Amino acid sequence: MTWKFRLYIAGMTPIANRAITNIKRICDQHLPDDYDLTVIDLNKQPSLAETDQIVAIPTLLRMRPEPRRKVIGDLSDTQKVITGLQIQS
Amino acid sequence: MTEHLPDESSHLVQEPQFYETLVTQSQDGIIIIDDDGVVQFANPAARQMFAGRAHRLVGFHLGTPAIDEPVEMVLPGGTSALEVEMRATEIEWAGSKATLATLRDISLLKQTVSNLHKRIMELECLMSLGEFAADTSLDERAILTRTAELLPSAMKHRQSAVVKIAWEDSLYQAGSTAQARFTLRVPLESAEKNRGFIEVGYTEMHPETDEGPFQAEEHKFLLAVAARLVSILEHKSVMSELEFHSRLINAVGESVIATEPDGKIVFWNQGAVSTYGWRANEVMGRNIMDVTVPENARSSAGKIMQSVNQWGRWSGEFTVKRKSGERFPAIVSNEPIYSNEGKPIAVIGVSRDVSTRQQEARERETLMLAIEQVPEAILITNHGGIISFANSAFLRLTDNTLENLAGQHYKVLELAADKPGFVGLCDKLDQPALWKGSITSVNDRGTNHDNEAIISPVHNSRGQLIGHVAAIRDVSVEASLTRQLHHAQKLEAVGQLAGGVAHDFNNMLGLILGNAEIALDQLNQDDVIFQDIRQIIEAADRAANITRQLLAFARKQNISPRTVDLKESVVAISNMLARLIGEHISLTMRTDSATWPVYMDPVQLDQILANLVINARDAIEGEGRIEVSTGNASIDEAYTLGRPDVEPGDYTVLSVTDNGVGMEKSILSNIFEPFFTTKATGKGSGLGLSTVYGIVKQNSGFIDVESEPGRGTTFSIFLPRYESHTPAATIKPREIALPTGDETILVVEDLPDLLKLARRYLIKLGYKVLATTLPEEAFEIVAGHDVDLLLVDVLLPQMTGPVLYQKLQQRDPTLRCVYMSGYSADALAQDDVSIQDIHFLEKPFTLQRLANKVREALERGR
Repeated sequence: MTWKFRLYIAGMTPIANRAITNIKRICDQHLPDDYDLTVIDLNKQPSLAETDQIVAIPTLLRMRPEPRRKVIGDLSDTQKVITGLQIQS
Repeated sequence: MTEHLPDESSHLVQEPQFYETLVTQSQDGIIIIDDDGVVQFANPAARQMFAGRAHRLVGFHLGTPAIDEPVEMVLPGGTSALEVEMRATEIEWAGSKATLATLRDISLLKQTVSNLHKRIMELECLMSLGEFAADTSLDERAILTRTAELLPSAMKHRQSAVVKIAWEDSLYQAGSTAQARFTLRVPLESAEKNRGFIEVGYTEMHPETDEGPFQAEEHKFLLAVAARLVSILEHKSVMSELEFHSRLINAVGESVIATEPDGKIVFWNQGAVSTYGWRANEVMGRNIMDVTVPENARSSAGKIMQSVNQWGRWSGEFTVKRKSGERFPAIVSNEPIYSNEGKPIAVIGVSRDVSTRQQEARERETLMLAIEQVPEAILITNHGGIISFANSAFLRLTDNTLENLAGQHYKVLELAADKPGFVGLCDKLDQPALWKGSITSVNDRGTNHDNEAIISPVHNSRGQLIGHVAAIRDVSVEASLTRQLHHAQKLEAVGQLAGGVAHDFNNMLGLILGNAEIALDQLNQDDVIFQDIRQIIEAADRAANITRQLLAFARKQNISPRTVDLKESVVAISNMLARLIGEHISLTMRTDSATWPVYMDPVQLDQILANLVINARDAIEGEGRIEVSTGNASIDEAYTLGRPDVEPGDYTVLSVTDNGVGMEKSILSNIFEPFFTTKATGKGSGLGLSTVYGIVKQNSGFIDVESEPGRGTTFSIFLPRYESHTPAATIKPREIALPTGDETILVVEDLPDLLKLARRYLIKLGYKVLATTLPEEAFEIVAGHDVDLLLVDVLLPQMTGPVLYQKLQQRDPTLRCVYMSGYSADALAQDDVSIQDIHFLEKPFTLQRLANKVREALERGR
């Protein structure tokens, strides 16, 4: 099963950069070759945020496996990311 | 905040209401999120933050905070995005793990920082523009290019910003605004004239909550940039124009100096550097008076400056000085510059060194004056034959004015019958090569003059013919002098020839006369041949007379000069002269009592008077009048210019005037030639005037003849004034008796016949005679005899007569001497023998003259 994530950012800010770097590191470590990460810039695609009920940026949304789960922030607290996304093997 | 918290031990903190109040009243949002990311609690501030974003915050799936330090979060949506700082702490909530998150609104702070950052960028941008303005190496194009490159960094969304600047007809871009989704354009205007625009675009959408993609500040900033850019470009344009003008002003040769109204130098061009020798940095700020005006000219320079400031432009010539102190004349033009209010703000002074021009003008003037004043007639024509110049001499000779001639073709100089001018000049004025030759001019009285002309083509530096110059010199005086010289030379040559012939002829005559006299002496008057021999003697006498005249003409006449009082001599001879001319002609003597004495042989004076009076008599047909006068004349240099044979000085003048037929000019030039006569054959010998000429020349005098046909002739004889203390002699009556003696006489003569004749004469006179043809023998003879007198020929083969006499005199100082010679005393003078102590016997001599001379010599020795 491929894990599917959406990372919502608003422009390539330093926080957004940190968030992307952190989630990639975590996924590469815990879900190697088994994840799909889509970065969505709200500045370019503002409509998706409403659908996904995103009210804080950055927000990482686990699309699959269901149910959806969210973590927010720059994802610097790896443990919280892992528990929040329940990607503990 | 802790300062305001009550002490933990106080009872207040024990109250649950205290914490509730804190949480509900907190400005920060406080939320509690469970492990599934669902909000379990939110205080009013948090709810306010998410209002419009989450329908109901508590129970909303916000997400688990995964941060280990405060993180800036964006809460999108709503009327505008909200920026918050989020902190997170793990807590226990209802027995489970949860996260306490606090959210602080930092939108205002972020906005402030962002604005500040933007202002800094804008400032940097504007500062860069300022640098462009100051950088003289940047031209308009470079400034526009750099501004276009610089501008995106100053925009709010620099990453997606693109810029296009249009200025006049050129475009400068950073990125492509064609791809921009949003653009903002501000105009570039100067003096209300549209000269282009600045257009900024964002290639990405940056929704701003209330003002659209571009904020008001960006618009203002771009307007500021536009204004600044226009100002810079105009300044640059002005500067480059100024630089252009500065270069232009430096390129002109004139000195251009700008001063403030008080004279302070503010501009000094390259021309001023060359002219005045000061470099610009040496004089900037100094007063013009101290730099270029000589001290003694400062007061007038001050007046000029005053007048410039007051009345406007002043121009004229003024003496200025260089750095070296050297003064020079300059043409100066001063003009003030006024402000918009009409106040003088500067004075522009343009000056030019005219010393060279003045020098050239002076040289040209000198040249023109020289050409104008030379005696030569100068005419200059151009290539087309048009007269461009004629000097005074030319105008005078052609009776013209420059106004009439200048601009006319030289053909106007064709000689007209009634006008003076040059014969054939026009034919020479178009010749391609130099022409030299004689040209005759005709003056206004119709008289011809000889001229020497040089007509030369004139070429320019490229060798092209540009005209002709004619220089014509009146040589009539020279021609006249040359003719006189030729005439004098002819007379001289004839004189030498005549003198030579007469000398030899004289010796022969001497023999004829001597032998005839001896033969006659041995005859009675009754003898048949007595009359024949007498006629031989008379004929020989006449022949001797002719040779004497020839010798006089040739200036080889033997003379005994002495001081002669001319007026007395003239009076003394007047009776004899009266007899010569006859009764039908009146003779008047007019003598000036102050007449200066002359030094000459009185016999020659008689010859002059007799010949001139006879000449005058022969010129008178029928009755007439002759006047003989004496007087003085001082001849100056001016008179001698036309008479190369005359020396300036004091002269005694003897004039003989007749009212006879007079002479034509053509005759006048020949009258002194021997054997030239206009008299009927047999009436004159043709030697009379030649004799006068020779005598006058021999005595360093000259003759002036004035004659006009029908009006008579005046011969004026000019003889040098003699200044001596010895009293002047008058002519003494001649001795007639034949003096005799018994003294011993030694005769030395190389011609045996003459020796024999002299011996026979002397014996006849009673003298004892010793004779030899050889000078050497004379010494032996003198040694053996008591000799009283030496009769010796001047020119002997071995030694001259004077040398022989000198040597013999060394043995016998009382020895007297008489020289015989066919020549004058000139030969003796060459041997440095004192002329006045010596007695001459002119060959051929008669018995009478020999007797007289010998006796005179012997008597003087007593």
